[in-house]
Amino acid sequence: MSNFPVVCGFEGDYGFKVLMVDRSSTMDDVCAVAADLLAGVVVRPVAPTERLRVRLPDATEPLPPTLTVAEAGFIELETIEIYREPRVLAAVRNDA
Amino acid sequence: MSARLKVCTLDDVWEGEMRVLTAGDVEVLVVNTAAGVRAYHPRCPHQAVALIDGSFDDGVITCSAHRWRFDAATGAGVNPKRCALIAYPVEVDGDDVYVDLSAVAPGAVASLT
Amino acid sequence: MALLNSEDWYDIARDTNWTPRYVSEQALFPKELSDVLEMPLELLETFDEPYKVTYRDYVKTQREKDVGAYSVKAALARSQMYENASPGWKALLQMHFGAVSFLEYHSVSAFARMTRFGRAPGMRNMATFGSLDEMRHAQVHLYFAYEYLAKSRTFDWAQKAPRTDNWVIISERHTFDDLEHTRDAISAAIMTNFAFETAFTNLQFIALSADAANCGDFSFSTMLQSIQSDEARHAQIGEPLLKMMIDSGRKAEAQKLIDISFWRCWKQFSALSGTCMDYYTPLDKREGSFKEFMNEWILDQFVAKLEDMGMEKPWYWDLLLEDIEVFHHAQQLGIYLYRPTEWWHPIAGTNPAERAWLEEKYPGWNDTFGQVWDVIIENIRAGRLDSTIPKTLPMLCNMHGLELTGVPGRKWNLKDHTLDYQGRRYHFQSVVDKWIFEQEPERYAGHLSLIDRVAQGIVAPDGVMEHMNMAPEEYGIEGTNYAWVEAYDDALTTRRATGT
Repeated sequence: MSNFPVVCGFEGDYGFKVLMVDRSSTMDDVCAVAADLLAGVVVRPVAPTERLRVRLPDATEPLPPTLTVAEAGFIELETIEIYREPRVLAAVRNDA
Repeated sequence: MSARLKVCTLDDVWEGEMRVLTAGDVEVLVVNTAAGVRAYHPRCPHQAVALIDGSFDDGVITCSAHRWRFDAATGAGVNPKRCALIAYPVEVDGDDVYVDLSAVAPGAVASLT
Repeated sequence: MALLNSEDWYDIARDTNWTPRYVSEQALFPKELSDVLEMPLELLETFDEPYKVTYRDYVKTQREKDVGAYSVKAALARSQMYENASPGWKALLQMHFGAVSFLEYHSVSAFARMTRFGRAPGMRNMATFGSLDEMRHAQVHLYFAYEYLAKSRTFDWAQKAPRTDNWVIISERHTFDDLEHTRDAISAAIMTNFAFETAFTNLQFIALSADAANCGDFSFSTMLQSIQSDEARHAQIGEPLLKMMIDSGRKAEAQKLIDISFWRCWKQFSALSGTCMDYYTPLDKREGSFKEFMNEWILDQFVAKLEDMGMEKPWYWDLLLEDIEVFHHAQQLGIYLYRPTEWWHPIAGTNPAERAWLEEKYPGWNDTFGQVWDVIIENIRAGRLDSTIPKTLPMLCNMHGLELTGVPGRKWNLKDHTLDYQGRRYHFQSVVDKWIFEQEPERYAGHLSLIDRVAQGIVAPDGVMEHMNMAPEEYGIEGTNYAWVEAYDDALTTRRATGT
């Protein structure tokens, strides 16, 4: 059972939520948990043309999607933001 | 120049009674006490609660909200002492009761001093 | 032989100080319990309560009040008022009795401490009556709640609440233990009697009483007014003490006490009175908006009083003005979404007509809070009721203990104000809540919020309800059984029929 809590501010939500993930979870995994629990509940569902990204508060760039919670150096109840960006439907991406 | 307006007749407020009446477009608490007719700004100096919701007995006006008490004949605070109702000068001419509104600035409320 | 007027003997009867010979002043009145600033006794002995009362007056007046309140209650006992009340009004009563009853009872001991440890005789007398007042308030609340118990088990929380770890109750205990129960008598008096009682209780008791009367709930309305009428006497304890602090050159300390207690009370009353006035009271019965009541009772009257005394508005006043526009709206969303965690049955209060009122009173509401409600409404209309209760916990503020909220939707603004203190990270919902912690970290540092307890493994994520002492039969449910959303179908039908 996931036991690493992060404090998640999903863009558009009225308040922070606690998500339980793992130290080995990637940022994409964290986004999947957020989508499952919060999209279509407090914010609108994630459209097929969107993907979710994680960034630290006050950061302008997202964290790499394959970075893990452990690698990112998160502490328990680390505060993160989750936001939508357009999904690029190209075969090859530079930042994958 | 005084703003002397008729607020009511003696028949409108019997002795021992208080009523809120209007003089022009200003609301006035008219009280018929043993010492004569008096007129006051109708709000308690404590938290501006309407005095008409309270009681007038034995010469004392008691505010319903927090039981502050005022001498109906003078407007002076009975409990607490260091406050007072805002009084309008009253003149009784025959059966008619007049108040002088110019004596009080609009929107004034007595403070506890 | 005729009785003397109380004015003739009041001062003599009041003067109960003596010069101790067998123990020291300090042993009788330790400063931590009595007055941390150790103001001179000669100054404290000038304490003069403006509104005077003798025990004889007290008994007579209180008996009249009780007869008044209980006779209204008795007259309306068979009125079916509760059964016929709207779900919003029921939710309001359920929330009020669970949230408020125990606070009254706890205040009995707060005043008793002032009675024992106040060095000013007038303060001790007024605190004695204050303690009796709070006993009365606790009893009235429990007696009224007991009658309602036959109609809904939610009213069991009037007596049960303080023995639970429900998140709302933790938030209240944290706040009022801080203000009333863990400081010297003078600091507690200033925080409790001045900030809490002089300003904020008017919101829940007088303003709400007007809404209650509008709803025809004269029993509750009379109860609230009757309780608040006692406040003149014991709330006045704070003012003379504030003046003394200023006179002894302690204005900065006095200002800080006010700044801390005012904000802490603001957060509690925003969540409690804000939801009651702007969401639970039926639309056509609302005497005014929460913001309008705040403007009348707090921003106008309280500030005038503060400035009269030579004090200043708290430093965060601009932040307060912003918060009045948003905080209770965000809290209402959380209260509705997490309804199983509450002992009352919340309602939404956001049908089309209600939203129009909210938009009028709080311009921009539909672009912000309305955006979350749109998601909820869509889920209900599609029959996805499960999706209207989040399956993950909200983050709580380490000071006020309520949800860590901001502004949702198109003007999204959500910030976690964190602080690292002695190896532990704290999360605050506002800069002011963080500032309060920073004034006296050791006072607050040890407390674990419910989320801290989960994070530290003390409580399992799926063990939170049990930890909060809630059995499944007690979980809050949707107060209207989702019927309120039908108004949206009606609106849609009307638009389709009229081609608009």
